[in-house]
Amino acid sequence: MRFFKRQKKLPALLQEQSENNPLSGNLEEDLNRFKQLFEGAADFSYRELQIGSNYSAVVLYLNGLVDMERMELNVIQPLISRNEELLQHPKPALDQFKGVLNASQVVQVETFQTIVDQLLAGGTIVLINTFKKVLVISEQKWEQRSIDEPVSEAVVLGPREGFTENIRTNTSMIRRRLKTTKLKLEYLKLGNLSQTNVVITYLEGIADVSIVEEVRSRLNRIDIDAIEDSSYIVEFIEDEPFSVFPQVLQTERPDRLAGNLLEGRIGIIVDNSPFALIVPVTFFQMMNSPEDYYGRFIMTTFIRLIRYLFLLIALLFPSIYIAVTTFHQELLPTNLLFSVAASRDKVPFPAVIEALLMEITFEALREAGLRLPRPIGSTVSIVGALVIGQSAVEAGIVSAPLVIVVATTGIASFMFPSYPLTGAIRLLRFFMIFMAGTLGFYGILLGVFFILAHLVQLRSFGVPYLAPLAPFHFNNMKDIIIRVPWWKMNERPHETGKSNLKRMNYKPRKY
Amino acid sequence: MRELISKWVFPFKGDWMKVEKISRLQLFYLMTGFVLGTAMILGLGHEAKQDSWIFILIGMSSSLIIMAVYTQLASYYPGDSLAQMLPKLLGKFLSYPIILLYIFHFTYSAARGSRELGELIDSTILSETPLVVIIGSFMALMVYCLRGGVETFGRMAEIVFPIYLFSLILIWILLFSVDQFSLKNLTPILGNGVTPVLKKAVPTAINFPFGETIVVLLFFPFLTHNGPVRKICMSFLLVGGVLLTINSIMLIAILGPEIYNFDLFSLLSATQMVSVADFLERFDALVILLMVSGVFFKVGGFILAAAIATSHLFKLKQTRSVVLGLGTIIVPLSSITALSYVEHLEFGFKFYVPYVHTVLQIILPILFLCIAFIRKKLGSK
Amino acid sequence: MNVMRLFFLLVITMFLTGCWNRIEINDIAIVTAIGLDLVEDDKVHLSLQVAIPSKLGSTTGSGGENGKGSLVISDTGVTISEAFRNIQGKLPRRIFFSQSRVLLIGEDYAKKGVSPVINFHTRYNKTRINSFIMFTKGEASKVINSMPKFENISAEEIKELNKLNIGLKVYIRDFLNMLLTDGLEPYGPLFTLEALEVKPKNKSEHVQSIRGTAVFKGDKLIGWMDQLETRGLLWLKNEIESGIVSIKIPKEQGGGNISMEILKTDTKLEPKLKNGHLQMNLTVSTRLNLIENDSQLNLFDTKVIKDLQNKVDKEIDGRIQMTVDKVQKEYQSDILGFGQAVYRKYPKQWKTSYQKNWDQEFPRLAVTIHTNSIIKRTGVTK
Repeated sequence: MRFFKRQKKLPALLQEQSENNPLSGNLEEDLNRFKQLFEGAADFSYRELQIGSNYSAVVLYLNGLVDMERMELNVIQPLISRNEELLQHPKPALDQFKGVLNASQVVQVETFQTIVDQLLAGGTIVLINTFKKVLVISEQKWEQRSIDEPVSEAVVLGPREGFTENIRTNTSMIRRRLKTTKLKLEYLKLGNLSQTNVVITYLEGIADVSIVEEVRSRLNRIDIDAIEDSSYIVEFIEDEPFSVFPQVLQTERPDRLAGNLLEGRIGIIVDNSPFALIVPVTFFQMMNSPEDYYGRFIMTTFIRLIRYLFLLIALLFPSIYIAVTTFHQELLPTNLLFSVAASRDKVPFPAVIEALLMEITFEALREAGLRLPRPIGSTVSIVGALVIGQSAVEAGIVSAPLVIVVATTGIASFMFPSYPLTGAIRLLRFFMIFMAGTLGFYGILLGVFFILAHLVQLRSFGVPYLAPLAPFHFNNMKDIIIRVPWWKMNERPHETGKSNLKRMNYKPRKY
Repeated sequence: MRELISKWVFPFKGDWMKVEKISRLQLFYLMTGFVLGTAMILGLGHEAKQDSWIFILIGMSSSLIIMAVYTQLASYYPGDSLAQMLPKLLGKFLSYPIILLYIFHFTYSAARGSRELGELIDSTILSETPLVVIIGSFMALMVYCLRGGVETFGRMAEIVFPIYLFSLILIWILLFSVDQFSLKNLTPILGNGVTPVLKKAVPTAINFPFGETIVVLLFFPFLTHNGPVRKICMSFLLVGGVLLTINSIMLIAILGPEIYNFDLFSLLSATQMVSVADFLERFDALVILLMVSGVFFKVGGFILAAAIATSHLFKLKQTRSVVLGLGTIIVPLSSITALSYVEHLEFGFKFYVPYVHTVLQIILPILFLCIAFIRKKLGSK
Repeated sequence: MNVMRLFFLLVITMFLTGCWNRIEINDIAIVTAIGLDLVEDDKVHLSLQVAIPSKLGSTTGSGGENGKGSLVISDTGVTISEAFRNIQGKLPRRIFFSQSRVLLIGEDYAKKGVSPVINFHTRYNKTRINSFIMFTKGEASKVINSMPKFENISAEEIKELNKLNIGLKVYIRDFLNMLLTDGLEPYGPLFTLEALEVKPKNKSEHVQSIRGTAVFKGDKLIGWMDQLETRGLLWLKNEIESGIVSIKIPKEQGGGNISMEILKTDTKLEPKLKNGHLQMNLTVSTRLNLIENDSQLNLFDTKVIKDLQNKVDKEIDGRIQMTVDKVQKEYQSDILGFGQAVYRKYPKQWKTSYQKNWDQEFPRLAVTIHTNSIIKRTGVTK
């Protein structure tokens, strides 16, 4: 629970780099300094130019991060083509050089550290002798994945674009959806070595100011060498790091993020990660699929009920099977008891062991299917189905009813829209099997109470995890188990959108 | 900035009493569950046979008067718990032993509740499991849940109580389908006149389970809106009492007065009679759910009351360690106080409820109210 | 925080140490029926019908035709629990009572008093109080050994038979209730093996059936009632759910028979206390459906129907009167619950003047029967 103390000192590796001597103005000397710094970095390139007779310049860039064609056209060409005005000027200022360039974004930078940072971020540096400042041109271009359909949150209806690894593309997708000045995108850099761009985005006037402040401060306290994915950040900012339940929503869908921003939540977009984070989040949001908002609301309500039913099945079915077969045989109808007993007659293991065995095998199959290249993945499932489904039962190692139980549970666990939540349920399933194996139904009840007690204590950025069920808020129940039609959702959720509740100015339909 | 972080990240650290709140709805759920709690398991007024529902109604209506005493007392000291108002009322030296007495009462009652749960589980579904394991695991749950204080418990109530009520009503609907269901079993109503029932009901029916709601005096300071509390207190007594009455009517109608009196766990045996369309049978699990969640409210309420009283008495900043301590005391306490279940029930219904309950839940509060009234009169002059 | 963690760790390890009640489903011997007899004057002979799952399960298919789905194991003991322990000693699997829905009690045992078994069955937590209780003429163990015809196990057949509601249906719970309640004596169904065919050319197979009633006084069996009297008892108890009433049409009207199916009956039992004189009023209202007519009567005539209704009234009256007479005069045991009805209506008078000497009062009680039958439909032909 200890929050991480912010380390002010940078690691030794970076110390020499951070020496902050300004540039000398001597082109050779300065170039050497850069050369030294980038020694062994093969992508470091430079090109020396002669501007007229008085000035010489060096263009520095990192290979592969810069659009070479446009640099040639917009930077190098204008500099070396004899610009009369510039050459005739007795002592031209740096601004005049800047004016020559065709690039859209050119800035003057003085400090050495910033220059290096800019260079690393894909900027083009123009050093001109006698000047202690440099010109930095942003003409980045690198190969990247195009906008694709989100894999983890596929929908039948609804938009099909998903976030990419490029933060600019991602923010643009949000901006396209919320064309308002209220949409704030705050940049910050995280990761001592990776210098990853992170954007905090929220809607001003809707998002709770104190939660925004809290997000900012929690992000600022992160101290890590590199952030490779937004999941890194999740573990830093969660309220209860030891909980199995996800307290941050990770989404690939810009529409989902935009929808959540409108509910007063806060988004965190991380460079190089197609998953944006949404905080604060409640349990019920994890159970909602983005499709819920695109399908017809009656159908959605039905699907949601099914989803909650299968949540219980995914969590409890194996444990109930164990409890009934090893503790409370009296609860089974007589004929069912006979057939279960008959199928278990040859099985050498106790039911608990049998169930654990099957569940673990199932998890292994699932993992194997996931890790293998896709064409082979299907073989795994065929082999698995054959091995588990048939041979094991025929050999009398496991009983047929248990296979049915495990298979149903498996299907049920694929139903949840949130992948991290699926993980939590899968883990807790083992806990429940264990409870049922020791204390039967009483154990199951205790286990469920334990989970509930944990859930009610959990918070995500101060918002109770089970809100609006506990603490109960009737108005917010509109989008929890049922989904009311859009024209009825005239209020934002109270737990996050308190500062600006009204969603609609008047009632669009009279019902 | 720092404060904000600590408030969000560690909602329960620091001065927990200021952070924790419980809404009126939560209090209502919690206390209704508390009233139903073990009474649902044990059943009330067995000795009154077919008139046991009248027995319950008498207990409920008399307890409304007692509740008026409690709430009046609370209104004299708004925002104070029982453990905070008593020193102001009686002075430090007199109030300490009395508060300690209450703490012990709550602790022992929690132990009794756990014992009853343990006995139920042991004599119905898990006959070979040691009692201490059942009570111990239950207490672990209680401690885990109550470490979040009133707030967590209130939220638990908010989730568990609707489930509880739903299962109860489901059981009733199922009981209607039983062949033997006959309201004739309730006749003759008051065959021997009202006096024998009245004699049995006072004070036992007032004390258990209604008088036990004195624990609510310790929850008042945590209420979100400090307003009049009488209405909510009366309503949970009424709802709890009515539910218990309906329940006992249902059970008598199915089991008949003789078996109702004969069975230790009458709800369970009545449920075992259910057979819908020859297929939906054996709803025992539902009864176990009812009983565990009922005891959850009861024992939780008592432990929390004891913990709050302790922390207010010794001016501790949090209850978490108190709850842990109480939990570890209650497990052995529940098993050593009686060797057998018969002894446990005998001690409870022949001594503890008629005498100790009467003193702590009826006589002393009335006395406190009188003193508070006089003090107020003197003070205003 | 750390103390808390340690605490939970301890609890978890506590869990790990044991599975006290765990018993695998293939380690239990599922008892489907219990039979009780008296041997050597004071010993209990307990027979249990135990299911053999491997012969019953349809999943494996290997079971097939090789034998019965159940076997009967029996032993004796001074008490039921002792006999039960003795049987357990002979079985490799744990005896499991919870699925048993049939309790058969032999004549000798019932005559000695059934309190012990009722007590055991309701007190022991593994037995179900909604088992059916039945009595046999002769030994229960013989009946329990009978072969099932339709189901896998005879006990299942017995259960189904009971649910048909043709005969009496008495749960142990009901029996206990009758035993405990003042002014109500217990009764139970008589369970016998009947020949499958009535006029067999060769030896007929036997099939189980519920015919007749065992009449108790206190917990002791005092006599039996036959099929017809049992029907009367069902009328009295308002437990008729299906049945046929046939009436003979006198010769003057053309002769023949008319049969009617009972749709619904409602019996009200009301005691009346007038000037210290107690009288029982029975009101029976019946709705019937005419299903068979081989008489010459034209049924498409309300007068005829009215006449028929009167005949039905007399028929029902006769049936009930016969049962009441038998119970009142021969057995003098209040299985009809007259005493209870009196208590419910006149609790004070019951306490003061009737409760103590009800045994003497009951046979002298005047009973009037009012019947009211309505024929609702006469079938699909005229």
